[in-house]
Amino acid sequence: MGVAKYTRDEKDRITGVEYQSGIKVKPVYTPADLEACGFDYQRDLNDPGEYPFTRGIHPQGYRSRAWTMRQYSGFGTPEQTNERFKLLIANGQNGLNVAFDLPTQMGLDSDDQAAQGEVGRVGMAVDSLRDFELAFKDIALDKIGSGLTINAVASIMLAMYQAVAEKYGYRKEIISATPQNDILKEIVGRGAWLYPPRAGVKLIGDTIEYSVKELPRCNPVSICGYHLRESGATPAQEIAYAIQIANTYIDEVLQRGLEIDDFVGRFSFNINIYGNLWETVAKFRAAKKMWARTWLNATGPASRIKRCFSSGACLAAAVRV
Amino acid sequence: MKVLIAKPGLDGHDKGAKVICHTLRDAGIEVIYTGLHKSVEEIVSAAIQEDVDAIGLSMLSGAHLYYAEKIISGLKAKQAGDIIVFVGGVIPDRDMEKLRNLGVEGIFPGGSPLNATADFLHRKIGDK
Repeated sequence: MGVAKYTRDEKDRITGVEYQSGIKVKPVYTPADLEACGFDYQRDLNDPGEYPFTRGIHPQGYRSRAWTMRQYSGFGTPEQTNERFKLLIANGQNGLNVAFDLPTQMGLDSDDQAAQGEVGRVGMAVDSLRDFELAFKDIALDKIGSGLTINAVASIMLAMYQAVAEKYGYRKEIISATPQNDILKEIVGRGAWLYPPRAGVKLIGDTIEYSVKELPRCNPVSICGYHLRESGATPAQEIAYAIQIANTYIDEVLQRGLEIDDFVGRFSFNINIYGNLWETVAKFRAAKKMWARTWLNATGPASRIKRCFSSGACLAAAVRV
Repeated sequence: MKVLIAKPGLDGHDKGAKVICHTLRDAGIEVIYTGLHKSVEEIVSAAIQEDVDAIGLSMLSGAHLYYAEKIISGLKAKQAGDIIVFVGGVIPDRDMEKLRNLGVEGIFPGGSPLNATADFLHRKIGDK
């Protein structure tokens, strides 16, 4: 099915719309529909920047403050990647999103037999701190924040990022990084995992705990509904699994004696954009409300569902006809 | 007809491989899937042990030239050069010719119709 299926009567009027996920909607809505579902503005929608953050965490959306632009980039050697980073920043990009090659993602050195044929492809190769130093040379790490798109070894990459920043004279308190660091999603949806689930969750707990104590501007985990959707989940399953995975990491950190408000604001999300625009908007809004109602109270720190990717399916080469 | 669908190397994205497995099965072909992260040796040895007619490599990692070359020469070294090798996934246009020169007989990049792979196999191997 395409992004939406319309049924029509004999006069060509639309009688029903079914979105890709199978959800049926009416062609036209009126205030009577809001009344029928017991809609309460403050509870169910509210202003932008207000609990339950249905319309986002910024009071004026992105009208007074632009979003961060960080194109996923990185390939070949750290020198080539550094050149690319500088080109992107020179062209107006205000953040980085680092792509690592698969050997790095799987914790292998570039000279490992299993890495052959894949070194420097789909991302840059990192074997040691020296590679990180070259990749981030002459980047203003006090102004540019970095997404580190890596999971199984994300804790090591975050440590390297801090080490490089400090070497270049930036205090750890001012650097901003978001390692993807969602190991359960790798096990469920993407396949680049190294440790079994329990050990993976412990490692993520370590990263969150460390970031809360040492790296005040870092978001130690980005929960990826995106990959679950790409590997076959429906939109509803995508959000359900993503929030349940986040809950698992939260339970791990709570067990260590931290308070929920100490760290819940550090959670970032990466949700799939796919197919019908309105269905996608509704999914984002539902996800934000669910997250707020699960973990936030109306006066607590605003956690965010702040990041969205397009889908790999949408990015695939155009169909040859 | 019996076909091995393989995921060589470190990439963990196998929805495409699984969709192809289902499509071939529905077309009446016996299909074996290797699972993720397989080496050249594991793929060659599975193909020989299972006595398959063809191997399909699902490649999204950019390592398609490396793996096609190693797997085809690995098969020849074990006197199994008659096994047909085909490749699907993210394959840039500029590599099509190189893959064919390596001995890859079918290439199915993103956007290929779902039944193209089964049609190719029926054409190449017949109703074995």
